[in-house]
Amino acid sequence: MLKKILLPVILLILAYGFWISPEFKAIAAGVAIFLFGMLFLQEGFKAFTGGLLERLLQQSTDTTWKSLGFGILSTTLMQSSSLVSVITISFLSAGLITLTAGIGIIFGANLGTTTGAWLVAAFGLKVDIAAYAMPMLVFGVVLSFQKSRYLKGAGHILAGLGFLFLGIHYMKEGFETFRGNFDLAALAVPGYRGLFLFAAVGVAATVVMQSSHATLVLILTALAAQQITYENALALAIGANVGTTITAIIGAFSANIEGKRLAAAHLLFNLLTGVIAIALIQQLVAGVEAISDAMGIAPDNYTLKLAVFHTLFNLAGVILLLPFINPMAVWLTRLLPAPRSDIVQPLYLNDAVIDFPETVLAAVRREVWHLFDSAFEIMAHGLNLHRNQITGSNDLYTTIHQDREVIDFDLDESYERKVKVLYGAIIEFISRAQSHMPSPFADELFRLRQSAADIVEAVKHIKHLRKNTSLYMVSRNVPICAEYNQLRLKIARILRDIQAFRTAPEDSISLLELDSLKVEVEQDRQSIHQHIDELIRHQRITPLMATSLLNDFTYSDEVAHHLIDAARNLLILQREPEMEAAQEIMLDEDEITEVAKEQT
Amino acid sequence: MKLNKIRKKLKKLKHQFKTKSGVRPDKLAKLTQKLQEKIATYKEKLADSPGNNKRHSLKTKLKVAQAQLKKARKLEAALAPVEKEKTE
Repeated sequence: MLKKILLPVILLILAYGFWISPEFKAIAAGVAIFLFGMLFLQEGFKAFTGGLLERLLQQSTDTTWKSLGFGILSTTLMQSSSLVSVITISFLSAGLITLTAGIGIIFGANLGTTTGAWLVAAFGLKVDIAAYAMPMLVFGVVLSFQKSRYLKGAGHILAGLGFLFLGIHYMKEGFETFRGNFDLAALAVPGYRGLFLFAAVGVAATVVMQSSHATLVLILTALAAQQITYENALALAIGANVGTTITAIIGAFSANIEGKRLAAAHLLFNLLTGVIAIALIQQLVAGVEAISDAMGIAPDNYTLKLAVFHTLFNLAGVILLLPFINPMAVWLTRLLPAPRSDIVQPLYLNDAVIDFPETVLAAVRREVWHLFDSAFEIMAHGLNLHRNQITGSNDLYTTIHQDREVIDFDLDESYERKVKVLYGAIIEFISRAQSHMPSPFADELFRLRQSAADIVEAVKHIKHLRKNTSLYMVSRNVPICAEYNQLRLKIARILRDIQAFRTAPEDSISLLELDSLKVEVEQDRQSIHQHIDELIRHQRITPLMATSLLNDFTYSDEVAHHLIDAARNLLILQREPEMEAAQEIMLDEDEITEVAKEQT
Repeated sequence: MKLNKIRKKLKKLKHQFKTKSGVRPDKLAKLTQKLQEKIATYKEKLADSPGNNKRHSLKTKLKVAQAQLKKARKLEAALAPVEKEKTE
């Protein structure tokens, strides 16, 4: 209801403002152009995130210091803490970084974003940046019409910067003309009342514009035009710092619980920093004076002093809260627990990652492994084995021949709860992501989809296999019991091996070892008919048993093939040169048959 | 039929190598080395476990690794003239 009313009210207020004041129109247009520039800039950077930024993020977050450094550097370069926080949420949601690393990046981004105030205060307000904006816009638009993804990205960045500069120019002009007609400084409120009031205005302005950068530039231009007092500008900057968390909060709506925890950490950090800044305002202002003196900043250069203040209170927040990153992560995990559900839900798929091809691949790969885990349990129980009996280090042959417990469980119901919903979510996500993916990524995504389908097929064949396995594994007829145990052993061994290969996912040798599993399956296939003939001939099993065994052998063969194919597609990492070489020397179907023949 | 298949594959590899895509000889050499080490390990394990029920599986692994090594060597030999041509 509130949402429905809010937008028309804002539009009406703006329209009224434009009607009565051309200066307000210029300032509002400046803010709009600035925000438009931010959007362009973010689009431009996204063009370069197809790998580089994601790889950097993955490699630079193994320690808190590295995470902090990454946050500072990336935000300084991109001049958008919002983009960095949204990418961090997407990475965290995809399970590629830890919550602690994510918090470290957010801390760093808060420091990195203060460089924007320095740039605007030092150059933006002194130099006629509109002169640079025009050629940037022209070059940017020409480049953004190009077909190449990178040229288009560079065009967006240039045009984005052009719009940013143009926006600043309009804001500056608007405030300067404003000064002639009105004196906003007359509305200044002194003391702590003013501090809280203007901090709240700063929060509100940033929430509306969803950019602390835009708010800060607005504050700096208003301060330069002496439309607000220095004290009130400090409070506005504190408010903008708190309000900027809105982007991460909105981004976290579509993220999973980890993303939500990070957004909460972002809000917590900025709120605490704001409280610290308000509580220690006198000391901070004294600190700003001392630093400004030391740096040779003129006593009346309040815009640069505001930049010093912005950096100082964010730095104070980082120094005070850095030792508490780990307890904060633990506390947030307890405060926001993962939702419990009987139905297995996707862990890594969410819309926050969909614009970043490498992250999409990593998230889908993890989700398919998650599907494999869910299916693993059903398959193990379907074979009347417990998961730990397969994954443990015990001798599988002995375990299977000794353990005659038939596990009572409803395979169909387990399939519905643990596989079907998850598989559906993977298919749906891949279908949506594919339209955003460049061709080589789309091919890999297709292979992962195939892998998920293979896992589901394997579960379905286990269902057919289960009926007779449960019957004959406890039979008094020793030969048929042994035959069905052999089928169980074959699948259990494949599951165990795949788990082992999974622990060394980047080792190309794991990929090659899948061929041994294939050869063993082929050897069984080549010898099964002769073997069953012998069992019938020696009257060790009845013809009825033989028919069941033949059918069930086919099911087990299907399970084996689907599992091996699923593992192959999951283990292959494209763009990994050694993996590409391994794919070339993997044995093809004819070679597998040949080696199997040599062995039997 | 089989010869045709090999010829096609070699043509593809030659193209991939010329265009800097596909298999890299240095990575192939590394993989060959790893396969040799694997073969040595399987042989050692086979010698150490007479009558073990894992013997059959070990023998299969050894055969497969040997077949893969043979294939890797063929591939190395096929790539060598292309590499030479490229450096010249």
